[in-house]
Amino acid sequence: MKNIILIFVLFSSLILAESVDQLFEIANEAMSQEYYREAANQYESILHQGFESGPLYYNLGNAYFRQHLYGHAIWAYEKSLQLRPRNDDAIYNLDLANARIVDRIDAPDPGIILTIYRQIKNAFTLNELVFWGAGILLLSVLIYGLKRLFGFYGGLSAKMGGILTIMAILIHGIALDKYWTKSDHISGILIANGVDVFSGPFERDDSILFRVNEGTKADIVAWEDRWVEIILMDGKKGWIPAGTIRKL
Amino acid sequence: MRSLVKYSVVTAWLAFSSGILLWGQTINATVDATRISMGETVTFKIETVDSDEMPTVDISPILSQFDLVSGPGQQTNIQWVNGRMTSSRVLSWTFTPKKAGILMIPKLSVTLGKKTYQTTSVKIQVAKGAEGEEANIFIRAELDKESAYVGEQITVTYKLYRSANFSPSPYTLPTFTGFWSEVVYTPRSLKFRNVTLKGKSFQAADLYKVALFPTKTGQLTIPSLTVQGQMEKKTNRRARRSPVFDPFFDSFFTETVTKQVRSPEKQINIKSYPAMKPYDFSGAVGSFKLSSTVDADSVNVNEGFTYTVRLKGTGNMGQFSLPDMQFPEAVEAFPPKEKFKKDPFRDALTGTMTWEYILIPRKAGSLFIPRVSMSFFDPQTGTWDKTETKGIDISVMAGKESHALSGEFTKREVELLGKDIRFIHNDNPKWLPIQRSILSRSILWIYGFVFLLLLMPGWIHNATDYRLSTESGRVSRGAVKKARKSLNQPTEDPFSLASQTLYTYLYERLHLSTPNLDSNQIKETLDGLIPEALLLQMITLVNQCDSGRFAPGGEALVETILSDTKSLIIQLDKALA
Repeated sequence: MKNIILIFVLFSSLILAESVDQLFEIANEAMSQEYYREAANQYESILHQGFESGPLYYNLGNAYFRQHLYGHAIWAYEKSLQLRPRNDDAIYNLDLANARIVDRIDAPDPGIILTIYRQIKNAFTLNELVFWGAGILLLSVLIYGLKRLFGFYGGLSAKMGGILTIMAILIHGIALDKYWTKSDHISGILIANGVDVFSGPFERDDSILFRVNEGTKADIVAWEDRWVEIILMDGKKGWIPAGTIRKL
Repeated sequence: MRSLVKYSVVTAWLAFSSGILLWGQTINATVDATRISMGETVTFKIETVDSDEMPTVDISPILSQFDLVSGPGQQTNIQWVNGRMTSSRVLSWTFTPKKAGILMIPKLSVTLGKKTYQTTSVKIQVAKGAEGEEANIFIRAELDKESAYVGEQITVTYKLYRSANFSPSPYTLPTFTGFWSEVVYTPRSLKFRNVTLKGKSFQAADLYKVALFPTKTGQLTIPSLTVQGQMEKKTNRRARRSPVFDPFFDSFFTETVTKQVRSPEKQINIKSYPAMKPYDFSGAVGSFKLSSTVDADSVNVNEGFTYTVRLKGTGNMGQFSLPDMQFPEAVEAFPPKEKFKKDPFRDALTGTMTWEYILIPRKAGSLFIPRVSMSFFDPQTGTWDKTETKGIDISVMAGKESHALSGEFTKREVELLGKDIRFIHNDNPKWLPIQRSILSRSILWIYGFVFLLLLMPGWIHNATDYRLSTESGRVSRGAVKKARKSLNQPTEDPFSLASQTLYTYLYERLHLSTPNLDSNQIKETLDGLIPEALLLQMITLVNQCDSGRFAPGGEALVETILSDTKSLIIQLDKALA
């Protein structure tokens, strides 16, 4: 009986996988025939089924870009880069999309060291960082074990062990930082143009603080029923309707 | 008793030949009145006696001449007469006639169980009754004009007039064919005011006010609005005055009747436009004024500004479009944000439409936004008209080299503007569930290995124990090697080096407590461990080293002392093994 259930589960997951692949192929076909809206719908339906992948977000970004929905496109490219952070095409297209949006918000210059650190942090996924950290840790533990066992004293092996240990600690530190950033900061991309930012979760003409446009990235501080409190990169803060931002 | 008599007089009982006594089953179809006037209702009943189930009837043939007011209602009665039970089941509908004259309730087939019965048709005489202003209750559709152009607003007000107590139930707006309609006014509750029509006083209330915009020419019909309601009718109980039936209680003896009121249909003539239609006419009828503004006189390159086009006026707003905007090449335009603000206090559709464009100049220099123009038809004068904005000049500065063009990244962005995105990725990817754990399982395996290696206690312990247990052996075995190495290094004082090396060798080889030795201690320690001759030779060497070059013949010994010590240690090591 157990076996039958197992086979059934395997089979149904196979069917599911196939249909997702089919959806993806259909959507790609729609893209090449320039039915961008339909393609975007198909890609979104894959997301709706609970599956994601780097190429999926990348292609979705292209579908939105072609429809001039730059906010949605930037959202999709950012999602794609979360899964494949060193993908050239996605980086290039994201730059292109960012060049077409209205708002130019400059974050305060963080300095060279922090910039380099952030670049390193953003060039790897959390999984990759932890994978390499763990691998290097394993290597240094192995060296330590060999040293104790066969008495390689001093020289190259001692230096190697030290370097590897420091590297492992550093990489784990970066991974931890990335994990905290990921769990504490929810950010989003504005997907509507000319969004009025209000001082509170209510719509009143005299409470408009400023205005943001599609494609702008913002940190989400609070998410209420129909309103979202955001902080822009330059520190401006306010409330916008929930439908105008898409969570990353 | 009186009312019962009246009822039986008015009621026409129609027994049907086909339905008489079939296994005790009978079917009767009855109407409660055969003479009514417009707006009154007639109740149609189908009654079965001694059947176990409700009959099923298709009443759709009736609906060609009558409107259904309510129904079907179901009723079941059980009676015991002289110990015998009779049960009857009744289906009833209430209809109101669609027109005056002699109408027919046609033959209907009634299905009861597996049997089908036919009812006979019934004639119903519908008197015209008090129509229009003579009636107690009527609805009028009031139009603000007799004829109109296509797209010109016609305001229709449906008004209810009553002189009897009539409370309408909720009603729905009719569908207007050939018009685009916009509701101007729907009351939350009816507000009646007193008016006098032809010497008769009425209460009047607005039911609906609708703005209609004809979409085609010719004779169009304003449909009728139908409202149902409850009307109070006084019964004639007042004749029976008695202390119990005091006039005070009169209100208890009014009965309510369902009545349907319908406004007459109206015709309106829709005219076509005069000739010489302008080429850019897109359907605007009314009177309009266009204006445009920008929110800055001068901007920097790559800095956005807002260009707003406003259309203010009265007419068929929302049913036509502005001509497409033509912006210069050097400007990037984003799709506009469209807004319509309606002026709520007027019957005629009046308001302001706004289109907000966000423009970003990508080149420095003078920027000219061309004028926007729109043709429209003015029904007041019956002529064509045109409204247009002025062109706007904006100077675009190269920028104070602000952040717009300073950073490397932005320069790159400007470069990117003309480029196209890269094509999609077609290979089927590996699908990851969106709801997955943050870390993949393989990483946990690696950590498992790390902990295994670090914490495997037996392994580490064994390794450590082995090292500790073999430490002294390794040290003593290494002693001769170390001594030979030490003797090979160049030195100023070969005597002290020789003695030091010898002492250190003995200390390590024999696990002595201290390397600080002298010839007596050596004699004590090594006595019996090595041959007598070797011990003697060693003592001599130690003594030679102690006295150094000041010993007799010391200068000669400088050359040989190190090689002598070396050969001695080798012999010693062999002897100790």
